[in-house]
Amino acid sequence: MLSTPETEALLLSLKVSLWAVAGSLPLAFALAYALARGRFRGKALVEALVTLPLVLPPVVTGYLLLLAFGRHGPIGIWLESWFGVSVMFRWTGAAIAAAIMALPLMVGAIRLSLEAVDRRLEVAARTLGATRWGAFASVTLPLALPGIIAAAVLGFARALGEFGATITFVSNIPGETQTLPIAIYSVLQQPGGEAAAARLSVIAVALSLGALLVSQWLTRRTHAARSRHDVQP
Amino acid sequence: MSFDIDISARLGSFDLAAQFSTGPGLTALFGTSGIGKTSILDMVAGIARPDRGRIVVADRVLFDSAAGIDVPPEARHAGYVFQDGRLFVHRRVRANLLYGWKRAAPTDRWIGFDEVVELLGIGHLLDRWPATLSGGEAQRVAIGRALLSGARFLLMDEPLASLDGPRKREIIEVIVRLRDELKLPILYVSHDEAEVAALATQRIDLDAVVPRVEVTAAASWAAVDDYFAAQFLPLDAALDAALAANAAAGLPAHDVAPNQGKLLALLVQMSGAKRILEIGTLGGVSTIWLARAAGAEGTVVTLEADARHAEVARANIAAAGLVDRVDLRVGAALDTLPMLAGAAPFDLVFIDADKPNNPAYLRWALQLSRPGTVIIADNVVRDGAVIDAASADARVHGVRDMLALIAAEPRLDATALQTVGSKGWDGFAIAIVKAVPAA
Repeated sequence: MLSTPETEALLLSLKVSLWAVAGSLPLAFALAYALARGRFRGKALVEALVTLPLVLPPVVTGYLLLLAFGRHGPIGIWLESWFGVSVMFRWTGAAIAAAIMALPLMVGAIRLSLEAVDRRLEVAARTLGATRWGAFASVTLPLALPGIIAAAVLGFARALGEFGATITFVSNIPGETQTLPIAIYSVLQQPGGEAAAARLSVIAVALSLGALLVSQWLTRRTHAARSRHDVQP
Repeated sequence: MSFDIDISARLGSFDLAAQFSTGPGLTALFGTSGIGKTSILDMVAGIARPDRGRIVVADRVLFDSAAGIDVPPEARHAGYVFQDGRLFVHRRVRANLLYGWKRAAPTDRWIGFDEVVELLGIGHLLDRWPATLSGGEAQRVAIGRALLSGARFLLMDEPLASLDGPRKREIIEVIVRLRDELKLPILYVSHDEAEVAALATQRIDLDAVVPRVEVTAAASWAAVDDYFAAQFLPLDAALDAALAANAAAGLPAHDVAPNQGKLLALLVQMSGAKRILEIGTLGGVSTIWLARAAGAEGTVVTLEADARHAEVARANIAAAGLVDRVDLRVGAALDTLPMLAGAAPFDLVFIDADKPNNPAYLRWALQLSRPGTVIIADNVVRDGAVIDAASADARVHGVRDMLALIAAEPRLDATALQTVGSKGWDGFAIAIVKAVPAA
């Protein structure tokens, strides 16, 4: 049903999005935890910086990534000299762009799920013999977990849809950086590409819709777990 | 002392300063809402930190700002029962109960799972989710969870506040069992008079009138003693000198407080006692009170086991000019008492010596008495330990056995009173010998 390049674009999109989410989840969690629990100077600035990719033109984000990760960019030089790698025009660069764009959504969702956990439960756990980390791991984390998974799914959906920053940062290389949205854009540039664009769009809609539904279901489950009045063993 | 607390902290807009010491049993922290009662519990549990001070529970230092001690909450072994239960909503009742148990060292598990389930009557709830429990059920599970965590003492923050009448009575029964059967020291916050009356062994009122809260059980007892002393007891050079000499000689600070010494003197005068027997001289402060009250023609026979104490007492009595009224005999009282038949009967006997021998001293006091003789026995409350039938302290058993003897003795009519003051929380028993026709 799909042509080889189309299948390639779909699989690449899935790979890029999965790595984007997997790679940025720890950072998203750390930022969400700091914003939910922390009291520190410059919290408002951190909050604004995390949210920035959401409102900035994606082209600008892509351009900034280009400056940072490029051959002469600070991170680019560092990656080159220490690991001998470059993310320029590579699928890894696409994953970084997708991760940056998904980060605000993930941080926001994880933060909400952490803030929804009654902190007094963690305090109760401390009095029952749990260390600070133990109380977090055994009480807060399990209670926030559905929200964290929902955030990851949401981030995945956002990464699938990423276009502007990616094409600016790592260009449009079939099989390497040509993700699903970029593939759709490309086929639309060619005469007679409408059918391929439609096929790919249907897939994009299905993937995004599915991800959103899963995310919503998980969020609802979190709330239901807090008021399990009707669930009997 | 169960809870020995002296802390201060700035809490938002007001300063909290709490100083109190409690005996065994359940101590109620009483007062209206919003005056820092819960903060005190939080500080004892280690989930809030006082600015400075010291928290000692059952002789274990949990916090001492001067010594840099701040035991983390997980190592304090506090069984904190929160007002809102705070069960873990993502774990069933069984997992809630076992949460602290799993984390406790095997040596800290002094009570078993089945025992707790039985005690609290929660066997039918084990597979339920917390959200399906009623308020009373949740509170019982919360208590069980605290006990199983290896708690060495309980902190209860208005555990009945969210319950209705019948549920309240149920939980009160449970708490009474914790207090009386498990013998756990309990610090209990409440603003409900009836609750406190039903549960408290001891009550500490927190003053809510001013934002500056001062909890001053021991400190205010001492202050009131000072006030009474200033009212009724003029400066007394001889007694002050005796107290100073006792302190200088390193005698235990068990001298009678001035207003209590005065009570002894009043009792002597009220009963018209002339021949007085004192068992336990120590440094002679009470001896001076008794001898003065007995008057010029009175005599006080006083018995002291410790030769060094007797020496200090002899000097004090001489300095007070009472040598001719006092007959100080050195030696174990059980050896010297049998030699007093010639001086008997006594009009008043004051028993204030080694407590384990109290029952024997009482028998001797009776032996050496006549109808109308007044017998006073000191230190019968011992910070409330007197109610502890399972006490490991031989002095407590000495007092309890003596009180039982007094109660069972047809020749004695008696009562006992608690006192608080500069000597802390204690009390005395007082009895009069009656003429009983031969059966």
